[in-house]
Amino acid sequence: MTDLLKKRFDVARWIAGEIAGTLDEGERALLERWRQESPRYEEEYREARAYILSREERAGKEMVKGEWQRFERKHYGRRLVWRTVARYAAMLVLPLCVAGWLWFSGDGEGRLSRTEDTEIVPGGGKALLILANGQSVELWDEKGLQVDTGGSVVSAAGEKVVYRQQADSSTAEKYNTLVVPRGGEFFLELPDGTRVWLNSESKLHFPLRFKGNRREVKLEGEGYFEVMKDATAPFHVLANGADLRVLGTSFNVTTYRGRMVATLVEGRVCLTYRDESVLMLPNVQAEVLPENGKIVTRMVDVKHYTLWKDGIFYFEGADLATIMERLSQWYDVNVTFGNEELKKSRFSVEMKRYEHIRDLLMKIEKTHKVRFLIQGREVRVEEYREPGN
Amino acid sequence: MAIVSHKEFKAFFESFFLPVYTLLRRYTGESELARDFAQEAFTRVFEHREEFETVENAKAFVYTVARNIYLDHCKHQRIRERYKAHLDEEDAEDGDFLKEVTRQETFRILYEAIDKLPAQSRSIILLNLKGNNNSEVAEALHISVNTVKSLKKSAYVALRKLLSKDILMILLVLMEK
Repeated sequence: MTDLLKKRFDVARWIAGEIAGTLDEGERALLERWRQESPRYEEEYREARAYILSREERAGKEMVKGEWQRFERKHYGRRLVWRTVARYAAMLVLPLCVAGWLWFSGDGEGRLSRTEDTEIVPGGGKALLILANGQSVELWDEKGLQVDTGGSVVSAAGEKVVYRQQADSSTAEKYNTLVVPRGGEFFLELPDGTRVWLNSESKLHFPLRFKGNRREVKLEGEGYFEVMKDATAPFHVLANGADLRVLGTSFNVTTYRGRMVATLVEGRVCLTYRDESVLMLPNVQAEVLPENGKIVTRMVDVKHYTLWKDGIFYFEGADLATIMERLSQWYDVNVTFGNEELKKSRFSVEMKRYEHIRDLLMKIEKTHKVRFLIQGREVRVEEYREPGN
Repeated sequence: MAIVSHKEFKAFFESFFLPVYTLLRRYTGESELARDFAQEAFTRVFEHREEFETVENAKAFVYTVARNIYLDHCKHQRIRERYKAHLDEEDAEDGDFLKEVTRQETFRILYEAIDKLPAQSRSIILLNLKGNNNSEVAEALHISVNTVKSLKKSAYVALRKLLSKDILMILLVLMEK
């Protein structure tokens, strides 16, 4: 078959050349000879020519762009080289941490004040899966797992869980809960094909099988959703008392610090909180204000709110309280502030999530507004002081 | 010449996604399914990307895999008959598939070459392909017939070069430098 195919690749180039009017004598003779080999080839030749002249040349370019993004997100998004390296490094370090405290000798780099430094490592794929029957399973990197929870087959490998819907057999609705601790992140594929990236300190409650005309999950923390299109069964995310109703789309939801913020990347979603309802369009962010039951919306650059799932911390003009909260979740550290004013200072930082926490803190220190003291798993934020003072 | 790096793979994807998708669309009759199958086909190429000695091999592989994915799907759906309808009965080598590949490849090669031309020459060639003669082209583009003639001349020189080899191959060779 391969040889037959390769012959066609040549034939196609000759026909293209003939149509463009650039074919030379040698190629023309070769094409001629091929056409005469069989009436079927002659027909194939004619059909190819007719096809070219009948088809719209611009068609499909936009689609290819979109499909490449989809492909890239799947195969490159979380698998870039630095990431693999960082992850293996983290895996090596973690067991050492458990065995005993790892002491860090100062390397003189930067001016970050450090006393005894327990190794603080970035998070990774870890989560706890609570099955419908109350049994819980710990999920770690590189650990393969297959559980038949009755009706659905769960397979977990590495840092993701995939649910496969099986033939209908079931009785009552069963729910699983995936709990991602501090310092964790997890990727989950629901039985309907919807993909969910869960950030640190997050919880997703979902049925083993979606039934009827409503798909519903509950979220605490932060998740990025790529909802599988199904016009007959809208997908609902319940978060902090708010209801996001979607058909098929991508969006980010966070409920950290008692807020509920939804950021829409693609498609349309309808957000409902008590009596208020808003229809969201792409690049719109909506926040629920529980104190008065209102929903406020604003236009945002969505990448600030979704890059975490691609392994990047991205803050633009964010206050230090927010930045430190996100860092504490990912690196599993406790943060204290020298005074309240410090929480309000704003910074813009971009960093890979799998680098050491010191690298990010040093970037912020370079602004000479604040300094950080790391002791064990504690990070203390102080006002910046000139060295020697 | 290879399709190992991110950049190389992207170029390969951008060149071949549309033809593979169009082929699958003709088979399945559904664009969403065709997109998913095409994604699957490129995933297979991606998994084997280090094993292809030439782009031509990768190209033959992606078309073949696309067809196999469709056949598996048919087997699964027990609608093999639907595919059989596409086949000539005595045709063991699957002439329909080859015919489709020839079409898609012709289209891809021709338009990838034309896309590389400067804007003005490109418009002229496209209008020519649609059957317009020089004076019609001149009128449509608000230029003189002589300008059309001279632009066409240089466009042919460029096209001849571009069509003498697969553009993607040229592109990938340039990338390696």
